[in-house]
Amino acid sequence: MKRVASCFALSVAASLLPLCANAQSFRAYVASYGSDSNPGCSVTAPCRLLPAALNAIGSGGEVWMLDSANFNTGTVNVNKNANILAVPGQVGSIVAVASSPAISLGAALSLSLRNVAIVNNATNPGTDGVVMSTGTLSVDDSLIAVNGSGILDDGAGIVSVHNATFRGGTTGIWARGGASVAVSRSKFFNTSYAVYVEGSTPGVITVASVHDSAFSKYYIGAGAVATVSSATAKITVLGSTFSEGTYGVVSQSNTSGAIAVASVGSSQAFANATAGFFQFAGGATFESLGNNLVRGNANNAVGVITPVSGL
Amino acid sequence: MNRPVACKAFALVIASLLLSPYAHAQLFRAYIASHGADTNPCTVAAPCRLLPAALNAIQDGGEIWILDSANFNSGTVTISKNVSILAVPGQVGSIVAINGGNAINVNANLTVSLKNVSITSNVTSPGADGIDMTTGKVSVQDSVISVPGYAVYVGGAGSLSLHNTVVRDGFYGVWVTAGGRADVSHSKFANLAYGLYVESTAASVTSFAHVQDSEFSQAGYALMANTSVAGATSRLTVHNSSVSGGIYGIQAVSSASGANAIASVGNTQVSGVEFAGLFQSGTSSAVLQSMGNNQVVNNNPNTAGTITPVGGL
Repeated sequence: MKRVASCFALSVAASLLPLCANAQSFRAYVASYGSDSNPGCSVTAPCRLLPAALNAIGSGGEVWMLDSANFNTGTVNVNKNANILAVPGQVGSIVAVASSPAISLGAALSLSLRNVAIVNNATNPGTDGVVMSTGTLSVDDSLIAVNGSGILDDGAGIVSVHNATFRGGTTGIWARGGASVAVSRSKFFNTSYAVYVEGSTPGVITVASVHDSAFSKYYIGAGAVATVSSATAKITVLGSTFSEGTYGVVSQSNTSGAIAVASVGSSQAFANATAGFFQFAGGATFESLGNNLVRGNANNAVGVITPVSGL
Repeated sequence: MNRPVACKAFALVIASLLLSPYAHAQLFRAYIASHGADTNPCTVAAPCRLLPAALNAIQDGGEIWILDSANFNSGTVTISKNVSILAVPGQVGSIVAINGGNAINVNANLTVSLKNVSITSNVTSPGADGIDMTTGKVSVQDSVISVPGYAVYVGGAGSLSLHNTVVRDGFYGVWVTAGGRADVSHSKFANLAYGLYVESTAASVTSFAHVQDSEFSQAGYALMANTSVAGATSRLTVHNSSVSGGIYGIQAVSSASGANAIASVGNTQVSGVEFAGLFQSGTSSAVLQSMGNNQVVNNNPNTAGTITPVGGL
């Protein structure tokens, strides 16, 4: 009996101790040679997978991927503020697997990703890259190539994407439900809906801005599409290129009272199979600054293009 | 106990303690690494562990190389000589702001460069600012700064050059005052109360900031020139850049007659800002010049105050 009791006490203590120790860590480490049983995920004894490292850090802490490997086996649920980066020169891979997203960000939390590669597991495919509703997401210097949406912001979340590549998949960045997205210096290739702003919540405005980015081989490059009355979708584009897709930049209203606005300046659209600039239905406005280079598309412009002067 | 031997050993220790600073002072280049020790001479074969030891080891104008990925300070790093600090490409050269202190303080009149460093706050014992400087010249390149206070505070007539750097998730981004100058290029500012702020609070003093090819998202005040004292001038130019989301876009604010605040904006996008995209406010000494080729849309309103059209040349 005594032995059983002490074994129990030991096992309870063992299960509690790592949690207590880990809760105070500012920085946790993962590596291909790590083990999730390593307490605290230290640099000398790193953990193997992201969930263990996320458990080890305090809110707002950092997780460093020390070498090139994959660092998850299922959806990584981020339930505290966190910064995840792979050491430069390494590939910090996070896969979308088993019909699930790679990363799910909890409500009202802040997550930054730097130098990560979020890809699909081809043998057991997943869905999206990062799914979020509210909260704040920053992605820098990263690759996202998944089957579903690279980033799905399905609420009043804030997304900043800088110097990232999106390849393949249904949607690069899908913003709806009051999301606010800023994209700069990024590349979207072979993605059906590259940056897609959807107005589908009545009374709610969803916005995206795109600066200095390149889009090719898409169905819609940058689109503001409003589908529900009194919902608003807006996209602004400056200094970007849309080539070899079907529709370059789109402003589309699918029903009466659904408001869509696309504004484009200093950009180019060429070799699009249907339209460089596309405006559809009365609730949609397509503003052009008059300094865009729109040439060599099946139709350079379809619908009403509203010239607006710069300020 | 063999007293003469003990004395000899003692003398050797003293001699080594005295000699070592002089030996280190001659290094052109010092090295630090996760496997280093501050008792080492900071050579590539025997690197030091933390930045202060390496700073002690180099001569004025020398270099410090961060050889691998780790954190390289345990408190504020005070820089008191000209130096270039870089992390070897492929490594994360982390410097944290900790215990309410700044990550880096740069003393007056020095030339300092930082390349490929990551300046963050230790969340378990948070710090304040990233880099504080007054006079002198500081360049920051290929880096990340994310701290609770000022990412970079230019508090004197010094010059900051910030290139290809991400500044995010803090309160102040780059703050320029007291005749300071900042040029920002190819950089990203996200989730800050103030993105880039240039002010002057003393007569006959001009502070400058220039922004090129940079993006600001979700700032309370993205870019602002603010002057409160007659005869003082703050000057901001923004070209080929983007401001999105947040509350205020690009502002010129003068709170006293003759307090000159001038912001000039060209080929720049301002969208989705909750209040004014381009905003001139206060006295007529605030001037917001627009080149006429800016895309200012989807703000509420797009402009407030007087926008002064200026032609390109």
